[in-house]
Amino acid sequence: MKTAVSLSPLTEASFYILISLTTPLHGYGIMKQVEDLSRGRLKLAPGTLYGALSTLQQHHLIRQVEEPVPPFTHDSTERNPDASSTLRADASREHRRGKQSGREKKEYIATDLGISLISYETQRLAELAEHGRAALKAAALSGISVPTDLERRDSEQQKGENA
Amino acid sequence: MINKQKQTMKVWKFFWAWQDNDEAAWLQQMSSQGWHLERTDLLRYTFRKGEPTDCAYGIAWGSTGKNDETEFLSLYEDAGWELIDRMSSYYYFRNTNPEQTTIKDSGEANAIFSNNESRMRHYRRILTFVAVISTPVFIMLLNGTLQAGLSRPGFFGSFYKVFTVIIGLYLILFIFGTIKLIGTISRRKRSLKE
Repeated sequence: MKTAVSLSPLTEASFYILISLTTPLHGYGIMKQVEDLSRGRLKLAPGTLYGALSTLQQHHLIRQVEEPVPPFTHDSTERNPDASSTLRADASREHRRGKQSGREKKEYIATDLGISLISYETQRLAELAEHGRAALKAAALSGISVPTDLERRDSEQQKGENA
Repeated sequence: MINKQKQTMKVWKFFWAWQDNDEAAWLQQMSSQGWHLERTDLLRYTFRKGEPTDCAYGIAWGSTGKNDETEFLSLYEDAGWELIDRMSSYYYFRNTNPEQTTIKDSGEANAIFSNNESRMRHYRRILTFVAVISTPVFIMLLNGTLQAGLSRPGFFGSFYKVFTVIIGLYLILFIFGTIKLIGTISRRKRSLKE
């Protein structure tokens, strides 16, 4: 089995999927969670999610939950205290509905290797952000204008073009 | 060909495997004119007349195995994608709420994928199918018919010769496809976007 370090760097989509799986979720639950976490910026299309899930499974970073996990187990809340409770309730409701209609939905959860990789990636990304901020500070000091809030500016620019 | 009574239209059209964005864009345009995809056969698309709507289309190269398929399809369905039809291993999906897709952000019409990595993966899987499975089969068939054609005189011999030419043409097509797919994948590899 590969080590967490050798699997780095993860793509943004894979990273968000992995961190949303500190609690068990099924496919659609992952999509919603990733969209929520990134404040709507990262929308996972189903083809992308499906491919990423099988790659993450191949590398033993996530696994399928054999039995449906009841919401708010000790383990899952301890690992991710911020996990949105409404999402969990949604997921379990969906799960029951799936069961009633005879359609089981697979749930996934991060493995220990997955958690190690989250830890490694988090450090790596913090380093990236730190160096990025330092570079911007240096640029600002040397008189280069540093744009902030690019996303809003881009969308306003687009609106202007459309008008 | 329009069938006025049934309100359907059949269109013969060919897209290569690496033209999925063009194909999805075309289906999108047909829907905006009120012709919604209903059925896909080899090289033939059947549309049904309806209200012109703004739709997003998705073309995915399918899963393997039966258990996998239910999981695969329920995921797409939950995300708002309706399965229209499948042609060979290609699955055609429609999303009647294109605002929810990444179609506008990415500028790529096949909205079943949202990043470069998964698009590359899609082409790679098709390439594996084309190169690893099809090419050896064609080579074996070609070899078989060629030898049979040479060893048998008369009517059967010429039948095998014609057959050999047809398979030879198919083989050329598949080699062309392999080369183009490798080109598509390496162009995407050079992209800065993940």
